[in-house]
Amino acid sequence: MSEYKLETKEAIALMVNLLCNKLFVLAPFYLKQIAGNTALIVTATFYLVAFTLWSICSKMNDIDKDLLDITTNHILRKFLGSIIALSITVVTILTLRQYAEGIKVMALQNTPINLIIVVFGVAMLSGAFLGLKSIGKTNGFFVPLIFIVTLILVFATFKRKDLVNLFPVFGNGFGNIATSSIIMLSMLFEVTILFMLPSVLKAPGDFQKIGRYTFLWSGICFISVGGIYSISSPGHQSVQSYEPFFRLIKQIEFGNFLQRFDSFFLILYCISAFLYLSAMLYFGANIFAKTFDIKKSKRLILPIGLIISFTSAVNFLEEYMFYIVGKSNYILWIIAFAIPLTILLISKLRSTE
Amino acid sequence: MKKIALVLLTLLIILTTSSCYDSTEVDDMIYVLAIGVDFAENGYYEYTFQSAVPLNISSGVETGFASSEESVTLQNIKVSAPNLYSAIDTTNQKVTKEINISHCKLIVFSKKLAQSNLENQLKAVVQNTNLRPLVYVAIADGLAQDYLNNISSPFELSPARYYESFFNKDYSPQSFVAQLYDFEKNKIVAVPLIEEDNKITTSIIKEYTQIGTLDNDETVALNILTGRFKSGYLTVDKSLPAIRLNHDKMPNITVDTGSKHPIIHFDLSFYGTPTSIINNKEEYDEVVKMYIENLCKNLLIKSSKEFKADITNIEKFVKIKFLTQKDFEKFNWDDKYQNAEFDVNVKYRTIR
Repeated sequence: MSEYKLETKEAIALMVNLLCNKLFVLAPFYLKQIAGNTALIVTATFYLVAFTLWSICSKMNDIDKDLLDITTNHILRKFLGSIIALSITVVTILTLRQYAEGIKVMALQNTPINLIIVVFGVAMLSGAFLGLKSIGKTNGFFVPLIFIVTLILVFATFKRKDLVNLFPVFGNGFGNIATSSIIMLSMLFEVTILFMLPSVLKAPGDFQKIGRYTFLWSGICFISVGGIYSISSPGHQSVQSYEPFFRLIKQIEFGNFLQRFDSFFLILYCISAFLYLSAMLYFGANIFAKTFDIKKSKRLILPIGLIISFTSAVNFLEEYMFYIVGKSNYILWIIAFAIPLTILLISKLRSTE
Repeated sequence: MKKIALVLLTLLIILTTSSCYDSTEVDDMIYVLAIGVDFAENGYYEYTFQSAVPLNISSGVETGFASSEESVTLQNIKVSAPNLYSAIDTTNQKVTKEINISHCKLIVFSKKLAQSNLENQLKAVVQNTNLRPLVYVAIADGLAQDYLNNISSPFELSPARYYESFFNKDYSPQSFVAQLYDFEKNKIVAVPLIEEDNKITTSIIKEYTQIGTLDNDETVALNILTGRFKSGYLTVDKSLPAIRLNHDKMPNITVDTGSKHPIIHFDLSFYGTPTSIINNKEEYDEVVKMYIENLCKNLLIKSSKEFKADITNIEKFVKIKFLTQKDFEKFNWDDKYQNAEFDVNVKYRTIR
């Protein structure tokens, strides 16, 4: 991988953005659709489950090795690397499409979607091409800013929210909370990249600290948004917006003079998208290169980036994106949590033997 | 060489992707301030887009008076269309500038339309990202276009300001504020009903259809029971001085679901100041208490027996008692409410 090593703070910022960016796109929509008024409980539950799984994994992990380094079996390593790189690519394709469609709906209604995808694609490619140093530094600078402003915006929508909407407290029942929590685990698919971080850290000893802080900060963000959605309307809304966060921000009103914070949100949205997409492309290319022992991973960025951009632009996604994103939620948690846990368990058992 | 190539590439990207598609010149836009919706023929709707005429308003603002008696500050454009979006397109054909609804302050429906069904209309506007959730919603007693045609106020030069002031009277206990956002939140929404001479009463919309109306006293009771009442003048008896009533605490609502019919308890707390000297304070306090109790009880009985709808949204307090949505649905609150008993307990003190 790159010679530059990420500082601990940069790594935390990078991971928080990777995990939380989904709040800006379709995560709140699915959260409300799946969990209804139990969105808060579901968010807290799946975060707790994710943190527990990650803690178990991190305790079993040698601190300076990523998931691929741990996998000693040649075939298994290639298989694992391919699965991770492929799923990162697919998730990036879907997220790029969601970002592009989102900005088209929210602001650029007359601009062709393909042009928007090109703009995001160019940002993604240039960010990834400039390398880990640029990704680390920009994330380290912008993510705390995005985090604070997002929380301020979320809490500014508290007016006219009703805590009574949290009831009936178990919504559609325990079964629904449990299944929703497992499905929503897929929202944290980017944890996969956390498992790949040790080899690019300046201080690999801080790996567990990075994980803890990542879950803490992203958890605050997710739970705040989950909470707001739980109390914003009773149960399942009959009228739902496909841009729920944007709709939420539009409700901010302090007198007649402090309104229209949506423009701030659009700035955050774009910065977060650029940071997310370039980081995902960079790590996708690097994991692919590492899996197949390709020395210069930079050469993979352009082809993979173009594949992502062009696939995002195909008309097929226009019709089936909601369906694909909805269905992928049933699978991604396996790649993010179940596979790493199994690999680490096997590796731990082998080393004990 | 590499640097020059990078600079050229950056310039190329900036120039080609700076989104001219969505550039909007203020001068090329007609900013709609209010939308009126009426029934038209052939299953179509008659949309009235009301926009400000900025030149006439700005000259008025500078001088402190409307620019001239003939100059109009508002322009209404009417079109027949199957829905709002087609109406916008049709309007764009008719006028020299492009219609923009992002500054819309009010959507007003005709009473006839509200009595029929507003579902398609409201769901369409909720999905529209240009319209804000804070847009006011109202019902016109006659036609919505007639209401918009007759808008005039000597107190406001800016029409946008007029709507903000007129429909956001949270200081007036006789009017109820309704915004688009309320339809996302609740099944039953109370909406201002504008009658002749700008008299406002309240229309009750249940599942997008008007099920009844409330007069001014009932609107005051609705504001009291929903915790929106802040203060206002009340005439409890013609022989007694009017009272400046202030709410003390938010209403405390508890529901007893144990018995055959639910019993709903309202604990309301007020303090007030009579507008002139009263002789017997205790007696006066009792009269005020009884008046508020009756006012609220009458509304609650009307809602359960006549409207058969939980207009004060007591449902949310019932939900607290259930663990799951299934249990709550089994309880069948909508039916139970129709036989509910109401216990309104008012605490009142005269402070001067």
